[in-house]
Amino acid sequence: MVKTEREAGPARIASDPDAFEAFYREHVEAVQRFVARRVDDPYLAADLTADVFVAAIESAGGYDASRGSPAAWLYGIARNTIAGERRRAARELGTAGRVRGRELVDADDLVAIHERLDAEAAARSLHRELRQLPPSERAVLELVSVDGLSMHDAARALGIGQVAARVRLHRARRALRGGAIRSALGLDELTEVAR
Amino acid sequence: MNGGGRFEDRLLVELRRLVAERPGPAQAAAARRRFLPAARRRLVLVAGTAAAIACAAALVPLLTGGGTAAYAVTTSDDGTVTVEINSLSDAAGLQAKLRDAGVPAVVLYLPPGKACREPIFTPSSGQASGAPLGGGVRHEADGSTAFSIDPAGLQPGDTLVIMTQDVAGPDGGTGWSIGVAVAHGPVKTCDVVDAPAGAPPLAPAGAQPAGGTVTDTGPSLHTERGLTQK
Repeated sequence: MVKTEREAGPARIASDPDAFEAFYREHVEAVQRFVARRVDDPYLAADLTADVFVAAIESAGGYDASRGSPAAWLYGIARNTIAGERRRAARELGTAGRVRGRELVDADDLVAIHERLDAEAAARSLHRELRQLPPSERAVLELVSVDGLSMHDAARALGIGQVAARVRLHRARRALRGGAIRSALGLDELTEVAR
Repeated sequence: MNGGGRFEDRLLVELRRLVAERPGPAQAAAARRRFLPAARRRLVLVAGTAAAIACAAALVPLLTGGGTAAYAVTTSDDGTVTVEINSLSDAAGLQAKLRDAGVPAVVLYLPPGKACREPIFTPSSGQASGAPLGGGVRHEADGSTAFSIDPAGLQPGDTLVIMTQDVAGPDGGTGWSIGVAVAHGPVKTCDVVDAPAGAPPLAPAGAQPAGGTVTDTGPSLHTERGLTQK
């Protein structure tokens, strides 16, 4: 009764289905696009979308509004979820998700998911090419240039300071200097974003 | 936007269910509410009901010291021991007097805003737990607090616990009241900490078993102080 601020923030999504729904509706499209920029299998994309929100529910207690927007927090979770999936796939482990996203997909959904995957195909190929970069630098570049986060939110999503994020971004840009990726990413525009 | 609303809607249903099934703060609060009636039997506060406590706590006219003795302990013909507390001072004296009267007791008067790190005791369980304090706690018009306890109703190892506690006030602040409870087994040393903000009025001190770590059957702290309202 006393503490009713932070109503729309992630703090309550773990306990209040209505608060969760508002949060979900606000972010589900962005999360699906984020996933589609990284995986090309529609069923895996559905699973990962579910996994991201399940992870958000489970870690809502750790959200600290002073350290970034809810979106940045959620992108951080999405990154970790997808990284976890890659580790899992690399070790060929089975999934044991709490909510199996792929079981919720029907034929119409497949069309929509494929459309989203197609729309993000270029971004996915960029992600693949960016793997030549050290992971810490690549992460900043991905979030800022591919996902369109602000420096502040990208730093928050990665759990690092803004200065560290800028340094890593600078190194990533330098490593890619002159390459085809640079023009594809619009790194000249990126320079503007980073300032 | 892209005609993909169906998967999203089904996913939302699943996730809402996941949220609803989680033991979140709302359910924890509900569990606490369910716990209260039982707790009230064991830990009887000055005011009558939990609801009244929350509202009345800040208003409880705290005991006036005056010239009267800090406390009085009398034993009636039927063996019942009546305790009257006039001021929150000489906790050790009250404790000794109660022991003389056949009531093992721990008296803890803490400064406002302080609490013991919980749990410090396990509430006496079973049907007998409510019996020794069957008469409840009375808050008299003159500002004193009184209650009666039947030593015969105590089980071996039971200890009467009298302690001040912060309770949530109606405006989000806290008030101060006297709690009386029967503990089963030893009462731990009070590790004085800041009273948790927004603590429920009747935090069940014995929610978990006390375990085997108890080392002290007496209080380590007797804060003798006059009654100064915050």
